[in-house]
Amino acid sequence: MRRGRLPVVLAVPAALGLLFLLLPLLGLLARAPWHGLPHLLGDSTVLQALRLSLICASSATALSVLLGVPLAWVIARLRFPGRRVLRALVTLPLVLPPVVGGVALLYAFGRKGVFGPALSALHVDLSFTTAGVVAAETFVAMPFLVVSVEGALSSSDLRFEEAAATLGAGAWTTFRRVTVPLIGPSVGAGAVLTFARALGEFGATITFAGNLPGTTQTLPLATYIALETDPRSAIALALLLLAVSIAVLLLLRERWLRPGPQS
Amino acid sequence: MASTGTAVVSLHAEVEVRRGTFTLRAALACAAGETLAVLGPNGAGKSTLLRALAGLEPATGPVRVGGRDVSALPPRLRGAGVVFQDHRLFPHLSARDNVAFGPRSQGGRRRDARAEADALLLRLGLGDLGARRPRELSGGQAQRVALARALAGRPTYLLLDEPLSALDTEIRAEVRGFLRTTVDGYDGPCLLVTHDAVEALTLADRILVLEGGGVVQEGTPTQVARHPATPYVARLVGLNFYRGQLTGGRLTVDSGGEIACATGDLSGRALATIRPSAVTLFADRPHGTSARNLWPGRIAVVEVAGERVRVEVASTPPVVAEVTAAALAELRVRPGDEVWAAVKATDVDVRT
Amino acid sequence: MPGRSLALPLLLAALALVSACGSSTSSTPASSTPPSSTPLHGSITVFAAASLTGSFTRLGKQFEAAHPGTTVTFSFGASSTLAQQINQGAPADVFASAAPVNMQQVISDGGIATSTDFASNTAELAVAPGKASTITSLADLAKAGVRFATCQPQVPCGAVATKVLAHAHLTVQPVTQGLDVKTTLAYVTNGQVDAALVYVTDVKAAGSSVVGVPIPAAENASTEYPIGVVSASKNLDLARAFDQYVLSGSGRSVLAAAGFSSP
Repeated sequence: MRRGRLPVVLAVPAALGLLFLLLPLLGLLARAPWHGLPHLLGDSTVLQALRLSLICASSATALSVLLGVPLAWVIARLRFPGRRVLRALVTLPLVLPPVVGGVALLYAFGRKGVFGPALSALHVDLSFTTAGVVAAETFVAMPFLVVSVEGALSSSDLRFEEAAATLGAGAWTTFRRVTVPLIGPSVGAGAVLTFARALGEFGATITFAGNLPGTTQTLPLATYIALETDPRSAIALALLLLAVSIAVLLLLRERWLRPGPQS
Repeated sequence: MASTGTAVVSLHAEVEVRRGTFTLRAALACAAGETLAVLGPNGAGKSTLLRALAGLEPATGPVRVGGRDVSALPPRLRGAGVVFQDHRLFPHLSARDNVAFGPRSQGGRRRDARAEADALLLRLGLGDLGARRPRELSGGQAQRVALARALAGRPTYLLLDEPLSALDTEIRAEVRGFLRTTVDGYDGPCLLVTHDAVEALTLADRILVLEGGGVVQEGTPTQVARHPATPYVARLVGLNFYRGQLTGGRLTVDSGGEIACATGDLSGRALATIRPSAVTLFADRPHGTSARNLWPGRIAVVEVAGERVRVEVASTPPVVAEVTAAALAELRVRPGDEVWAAVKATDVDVRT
Repeated sequence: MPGRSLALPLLLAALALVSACGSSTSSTPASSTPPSSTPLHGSITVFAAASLTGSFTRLGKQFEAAHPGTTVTFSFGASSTLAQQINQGAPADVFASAAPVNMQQVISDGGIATSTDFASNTAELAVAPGKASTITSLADLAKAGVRFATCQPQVPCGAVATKVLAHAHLTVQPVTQGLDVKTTLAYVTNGQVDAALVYVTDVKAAGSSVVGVPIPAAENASTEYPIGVVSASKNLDLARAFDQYVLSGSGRSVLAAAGFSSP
């Protein structure tokens, strides 16, 4: 088969598309205050926001894995009425505008929310707390994990689970020793995507968790606020987030390239 | 490979499975230490039967293992050791850990299970494979490890689902030998599903022939080979097989032609088989032969198997002859040439 | 149209009369625009501080009524954000800021030539009705379990809040810092927090949905509101007219009614 030669009709839109995606990044790099960067990034508020962001995104990812893998298993393996509807609902946060998610969380778990009083009774405070940031980030990011794992489980082999059953393994043992190791790579890929999404979350965070340096002011929030008063700082923060995003992308590709335990 | 500590039992089952338009209904019995081969064409329901016995397929009907009906139990409680066609060794575990999986799942500690696994692998001559991952094993090695894995769990009965089908023909014989030796040393009943007649004939003590969801023949390998009950079995064991109407020593074959048989006054529907070695070939019409069956026809296929040659003749009725290579050479015939096939009436085996 | 050119000076004269009779504290005479040869037309966009939302919307409608055929569109937000936007080239015609520092940001950048102060505002504590008994003074913000919000320090009302808390010698932390004063007020009206430090004008605008707790003059801080015409405006005539209108008697009376003090 001959290599395709690029028709002009395709070349022009392709080039435009590429430029559209690349130019903003190049603009950011061009305007970056490279000389003052170390000083800007060394600022305590910046470090505070970075630390908070990393902690929250990691917690959100961990929570997503803990809850998402069993959920994915239920959706992929169990047959029950309304399964398709459940699957659609679980992936809803993926397409929901983040601020809508924030509003929803507010009216579910906020003080005046449906479950607000119940949570208060249990001395659990979510709005305007770091826990609230984790909750908001988990809400928008967990579907990534669920979808990734559910796909792997659906296509993965019941063959091995049958073999495990004939060898005397119960459902939990099979899940623990056979299913989980086999879906490991997709859990990993899902976790990376989840982390990236959680790290970048803005709309739901600011609506539900609020904005307080050190407690709820994550990197994206800090960047937005810095834009008003100190654009140089904002660019520095933007670069920081860009660097983290690239690191995440590299991590993801590494997972794809590494040979998984396939038979 | 004795199942020490477990009572040695026999297997009796009456299985019925309904799947869409397909229904399987089969009754079987397999004694302790016996190997029962379930033979049949694709789609006959052999694997379905095996899976039903393992509990992997919803089925009705009792499955009695040593008198205890396990049909209501899930697979993990049935005590069956299963070897699948595609070995299904867990890719993320070493061969040793695969073999140790059964004992560990049954509550054993990791160290003990691993030691047991090593010992078993050693006993089966697979000692040097323990540390390897399944993807580092050849097909034959993997299947051997799979058998070890099934045995490590101390099963009360063994189920082998077409264990050699996925292997290359060259190594099939090798692994077959391994299977035979290993299964011979196993005390419990062993059920082997296969579509390969040679496998069935060489590994089994008894054969169950399954076709279209039902049992069509049961017996020892010799019995089945000598008196196949259906064209499928006959083809499998290499016999010429005819169905037709018998009257006064002549069988009118349903698909065309007539066969002279030494059956006296017998009449009615009948089955006739002719061993290929009982068929003589002539280049021209023979004179002075006592054979009452003389059929002209073109040579359709010539299959050489060492010293023996199978010649398919498109006569009416069609017949397969087995001659020596020398004899064929003397005839100076080639595919497409006209020959005469001669069969003595006394060599026609008829059953009504 | 002949009718219109007569109506304008008549209307302005009438307004001058009204403002003279009103309870205005203003000493600045209502400046009236000399009748222009061409009637005002077209549209302008006014960037105004969030605290001016209610009053400026009213002013806008009055202005449009006074000058049929004109349209005044508003963009309300945090003064610092608006200043940034203007500096980045946003199409504003008039800028009304809640603090001189943000106006200065635009003047230094060359976007606006001069500005005039037109109002002044002080802080007040807006308390959720249910908490009115618990929170009766600033000091009550330090009580255990009290959750309050302030504006982020980068915006005028946040700067005022910082000063107020300092004057009162309170080292309390809000649970969140709203991006602008309206968002901060919303936290109280939505029941997310118990109280918020906002402007007196916001408390007034919120009506019965909050309980206002006045702040003693000794502890309070104020902020001046400057307004200026953007030099690059595409409709300088209309922009200047609106600028004058805000500074006029009618403007002052609307602002006074909303709770603003004179500059």
